[in-house]
Amino acid sequence: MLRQVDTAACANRWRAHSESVSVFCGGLMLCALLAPPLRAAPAVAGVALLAAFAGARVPARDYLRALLMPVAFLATSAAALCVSISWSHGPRFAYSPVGAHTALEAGVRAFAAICVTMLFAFTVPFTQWLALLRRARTPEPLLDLILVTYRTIFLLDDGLASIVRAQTGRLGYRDARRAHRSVALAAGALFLRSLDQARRLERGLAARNYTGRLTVLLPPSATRARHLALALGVPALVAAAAFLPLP
Amino acid sequence: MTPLLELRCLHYVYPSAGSAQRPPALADISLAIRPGTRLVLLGANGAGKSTLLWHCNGTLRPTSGDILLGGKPVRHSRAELTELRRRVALVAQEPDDQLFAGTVRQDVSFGPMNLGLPESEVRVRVDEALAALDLVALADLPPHQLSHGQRKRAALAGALAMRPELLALDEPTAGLDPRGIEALHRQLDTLHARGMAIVLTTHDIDFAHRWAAEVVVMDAGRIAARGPAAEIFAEAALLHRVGLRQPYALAACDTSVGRR
Repeated sequence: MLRQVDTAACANRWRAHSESVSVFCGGLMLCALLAPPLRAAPAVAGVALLAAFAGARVPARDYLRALLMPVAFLATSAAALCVSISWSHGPRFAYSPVGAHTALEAGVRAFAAICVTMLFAFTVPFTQWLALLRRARTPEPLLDLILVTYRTIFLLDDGLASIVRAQTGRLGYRDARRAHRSVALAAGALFLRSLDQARRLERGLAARNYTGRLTVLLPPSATRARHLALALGVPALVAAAAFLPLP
Repeated sequence: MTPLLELRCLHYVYPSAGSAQRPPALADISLAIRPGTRLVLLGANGAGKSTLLWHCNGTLRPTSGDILLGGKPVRHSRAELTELRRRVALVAQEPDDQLFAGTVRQDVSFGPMNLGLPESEVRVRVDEALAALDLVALADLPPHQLSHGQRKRAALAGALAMRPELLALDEPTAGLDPRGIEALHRQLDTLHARGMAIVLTTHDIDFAHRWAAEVVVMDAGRIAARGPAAEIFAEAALLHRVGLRQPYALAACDTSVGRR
């Protein structure tokens, strides 16, 4: 899933407008968290989905697949809130209307927040949000750490895929017992590979005059006033709709 | 003419437990690299080719011996290493050992930024290096979205952006298909025509035969032979002794002469 998110972030129509997208997502997130959930959350989720599919042209299938896992967690938690347990005459389960209302409010709020988070992840490429963090004066060592972590995740993902392929080809996942053992061996091999990769990367960087800072060119900002106005205006409209009294 | 880079009596043992008993990775290596050189280091696995290359820009420090840049000894201080790496750029065999940044463009900018150049100059150099290696369309992609050959070109672009006088390439043909090797050949020719000295290691004898002007043959950490490429490749016995072979073009000629 990580690769699909990364690919979409690098290819979507909004990829060069990270500042506006960040303001837009920030505004929507505030609406989702602070406004009355039953009125604001569906609007926030709708706007986020519309923005992702119609605005940024993120592949709908990838976006919805990415939503699946957090929504599944959300659904199980909400289901648990709808039930009350009493122990007075042995364990007894009963439907709780108060719990169900809480579950509904928390559920729609969380769903809206997840939609906004995914919108951000699918539309802002890594280099752009690194640039945003730098403009926000994030400490440089932290930025270096984030940069190396990002690259290493994909290297290790490649490494893990090749290890698992090699194990599968030699029947390493034929049954549960062997699969257990293969997973443990793969984890060990991956750990050693990561140490080796770190050592090699350090040497490769030294050859390029590494002096303790991973300084690279950052993409220039492509923010326009009309984009920022739109990014501020839409969440403001959603908030107004949520707070205004119903006729 | 003063050599661009000179290695004198270089000796190197990889640091590890029991290193005193280990055979040296390099022993008594002396080599002068002049401006405009097209040099190939040949040898079997473990002969010391890559170790020698990593000494050329000070990434490895010799156990004993001297490295001279433009006739001046390099003492491996920070300032001297910066100067050495400005003039001698190295490209590792595995591109993932060098590529670390979020996009190709950012990665290529890393070396020039480390030279303390103004951002406008860095942008010019990055654009130039990307264009030279036909990477403009891939510039804003992360390295993990590229093929192996494209990543190798990105790593090479990172070295070119330093505008070095000497380019040291470790196994640049490894993992490339025939079209990739031909493209590399053309790119190296272009760089050489611009006055850049190039040293590379390879196991691709046929590529070495087509491209090199000079050859150094290494065996067990020592220089077994050196000379003009035509002379070295004519020495079938020498090449076999160090675990190599003659280029197919020459071997085929020898066979046809033998049949007559």
